[in-house]
Amino acid sequence: MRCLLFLLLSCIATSVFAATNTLEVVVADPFIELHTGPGKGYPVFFVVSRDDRIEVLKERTGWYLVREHQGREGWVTEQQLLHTLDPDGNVIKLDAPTLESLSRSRFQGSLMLGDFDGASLISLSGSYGLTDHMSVQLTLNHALGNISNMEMATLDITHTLFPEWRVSPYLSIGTGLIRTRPHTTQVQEVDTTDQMSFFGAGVRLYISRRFIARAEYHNNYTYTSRNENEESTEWKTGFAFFF
Amino acid sequence: MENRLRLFLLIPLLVLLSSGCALLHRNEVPDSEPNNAPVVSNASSPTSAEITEPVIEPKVERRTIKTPRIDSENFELGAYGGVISIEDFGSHPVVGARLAYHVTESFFVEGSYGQSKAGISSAESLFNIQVITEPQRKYNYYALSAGWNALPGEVFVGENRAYNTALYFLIGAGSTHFAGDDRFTLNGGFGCRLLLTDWLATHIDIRDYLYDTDLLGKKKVVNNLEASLGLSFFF
Repeated sequence: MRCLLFLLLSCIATSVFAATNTLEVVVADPFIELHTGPGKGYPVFFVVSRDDRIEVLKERTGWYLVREHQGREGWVTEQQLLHTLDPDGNVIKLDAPTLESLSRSRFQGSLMLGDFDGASLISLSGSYGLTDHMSVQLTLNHALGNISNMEMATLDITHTLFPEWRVSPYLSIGTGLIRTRPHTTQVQEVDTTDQMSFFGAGVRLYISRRFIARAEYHNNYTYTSRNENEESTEWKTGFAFFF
Repeated sequence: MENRLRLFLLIPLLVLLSSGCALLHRNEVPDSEPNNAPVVSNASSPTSAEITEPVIEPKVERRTIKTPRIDSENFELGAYGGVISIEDFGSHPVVGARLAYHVTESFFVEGSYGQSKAGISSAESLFNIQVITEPQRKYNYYALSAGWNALPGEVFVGENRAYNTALYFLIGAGSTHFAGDDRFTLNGGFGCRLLLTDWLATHIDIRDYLYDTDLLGKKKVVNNLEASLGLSFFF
């Protein structure tokens, strides 16, 4: 645990303090505006005119922190930075996320809430795209009910039918483990861990930038040690982000 | 039941077939040029040297498009400390950590984890009984929330210093572990983020955590209010 924490902190320290390669660009529009913060509401405090050089330091939510030649630092919109050239006169192409980059992206994380057979469900998942259509996904579910709580870890293969569309259905099939813990105020039962499998279907909607809305339904089969296997339904909806 | 089993077997077959086809063809180059194109030998084109020499040298300035790598700082990791009022069990110090991802300038998602320890309830001190054991007094929670930077602004310190701020609202869900049980917990609140530099921020947060409990015999909704101060890094 300490090793993990140390690794995480060193990654952040590297990211925060590392001398990153800054980019120097030349303003090609009549002028660009420097805001005091990364948002439309922050006031414009300085204007850099055409042919002046600026240094691009970092990006946050589509805003770029730039430094002009006298050392003033301010935030510029993505749209304005698109109208700049590098010192050789080449057009700068920013890596702004679009629907096209979604179909090319490899990593996706999602956060969903829903219902697992009457219990409130919290679901966190991360997926890795093998192709444009197919990805593997690891999901951690926490279902909290009146009688018992369930913790699930599942691995599935998801097939997105139309990755280039803004709205696309997808199918998934997977397997995993489910641990059931009855509440302490209920009749004392022991915790059980069983294997489960499921198939599911869902819809993905690209909203903007790296933002996606998702809704999905699962039919779960739990292979219990009793004579009968358990069948349960699960639906959830939430947001996803791609990197 | 039999139909469902068939469906269960058919769906993976369909998924594997369709994605398997995509996998097989992913690295193939489109067959735009015919393979049986005629091979032109040097002997059959004696004037090829004349043809390859252009009459006019075109002077076209080719502009290459570059995609530069710019440091993106959309994640925020931080720690916080404060006071949480655990209903019926008194107010106690709380510490926690949070990780946020800023999706747009207005919206962000946040995962947080905090822990505290509950004290003795009024019933326990009045009647000299023990409702929960000592290990069960450990209180911890996690919350996954969506946030909205409703009021971005600036604060001014003296004549030459200005700091960016944002008043934000949060709403989310998670789980609270208390008295040996996990309870589905809704949370909501607001906070203020003050950026000391472009990567370091301080937070003041007020958050309410709601969940159902029947710990003291009667089912009721618990409201646990938390006030905290925090520090975070953008990376």
